[in-house]
Amino acid sequence: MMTMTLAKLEADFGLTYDEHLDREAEIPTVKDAPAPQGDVMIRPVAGLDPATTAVPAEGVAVVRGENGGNTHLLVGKAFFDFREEGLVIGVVTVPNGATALLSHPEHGGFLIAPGSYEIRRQREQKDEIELVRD
Amino acid sequence: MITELTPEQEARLVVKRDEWIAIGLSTEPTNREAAEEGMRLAYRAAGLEPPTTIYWESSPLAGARKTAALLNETDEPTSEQVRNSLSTACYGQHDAGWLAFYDVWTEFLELEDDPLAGLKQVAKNASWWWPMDEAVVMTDRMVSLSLDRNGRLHNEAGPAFTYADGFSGFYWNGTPVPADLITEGWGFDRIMAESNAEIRRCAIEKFGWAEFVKSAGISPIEKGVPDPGNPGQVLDLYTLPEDVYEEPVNLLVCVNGTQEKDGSRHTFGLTVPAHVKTALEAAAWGYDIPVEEYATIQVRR
Repeated sequence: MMTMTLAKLEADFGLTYDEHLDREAEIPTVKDAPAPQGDVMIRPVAGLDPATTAVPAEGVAVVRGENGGNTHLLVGKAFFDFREEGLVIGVVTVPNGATALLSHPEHGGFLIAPGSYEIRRQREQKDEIELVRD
Repeated sequence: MITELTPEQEARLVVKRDEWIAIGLSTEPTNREAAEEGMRLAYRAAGLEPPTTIYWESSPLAGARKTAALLNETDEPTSEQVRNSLSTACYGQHDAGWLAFYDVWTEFLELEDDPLAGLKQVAKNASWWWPMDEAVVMTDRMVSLSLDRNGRLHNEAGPAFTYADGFSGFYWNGTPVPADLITEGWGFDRIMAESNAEIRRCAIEKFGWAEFVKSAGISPIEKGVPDPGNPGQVLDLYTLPEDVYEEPVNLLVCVNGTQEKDGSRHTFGLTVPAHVKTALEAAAWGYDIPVEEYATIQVRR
């Protein structure tokens, strides 16, 4: 498989990233282990019911940033169902042979290997438990 | 009689909710003419003759002062007189919460004569107002408003709300805080001298937890634990002084998985319940996954 870089993601998906991020660094692939992207985590879970809602061409904003920007965006040939429970936002399923991406302007992107994964939020203990919003 | 909402009505609830939230949070210029028309409708709905004397002020504070001055027939109302005038205020755009509820029923029950039409019209066009027998005091909408993602008043760099006459308020995630905490920032000593625990906690959050534990000289429970998926970076866990939060908490200090513009990495603190005793457990608690699984993380960004 060809090495994926931010430069190629910008070209292929029309995404934009913060200028200082390394355009030529290899984009990591998420497969067997959980991967945190700031205040969001993508986590492989065995036996998940696959998602059935096709991700539209413009992507799905799984978590929106504070001021509209800095959104964790899911793009590519994949399925995503919102299934909110506890910290879980939803489930993403990438079919065999497809490429999908969890992207964030400040954090870059993760390629997602075929399979089903939970997308989770991050929490903090304050007076009450609150979601982390970076 | 309505005993159950149709799917269409349920969908309208969402539309109405968003419509009224937007009214309540609007910083658009006041439409004084439309607001005055709404005021007259409200008087007539109550069977009263609307006054022809209308005073416009630029903020609820100025409106309360003007009302106190009129009611007490003085140019210099006392603070108590100003405070007392609050009890007779209508809140204009800030009546949105309860008006939204009745607005939905007006629509669903297809009521033709809406006795709240006047109050709604003022709400959609202006801010607080004071109806009286002989006169009415009306006020303009706020000119700026800043909220956090939970919809609480919040601005890290300036006032969270302002009115045209300068009336403003400083807030940190919904907590009112002294202006200089926001405009100048507090140092460690000023933070520790703060007697109000809630304000102190806001000040620490603004100061930065990682910086705070360093300045406070708190020793870590655990230090230098390799951060899974974040090569070369470590996790530290601290016990925070009691009474920062209602529940005792520990603080996990971590380093971002991505570089900042200047090549440095942002250090930040995450609070976890005090029963979480190791740095790795604290990191796993944040995402609510088992610590054994957290340890297998290959990459963090």
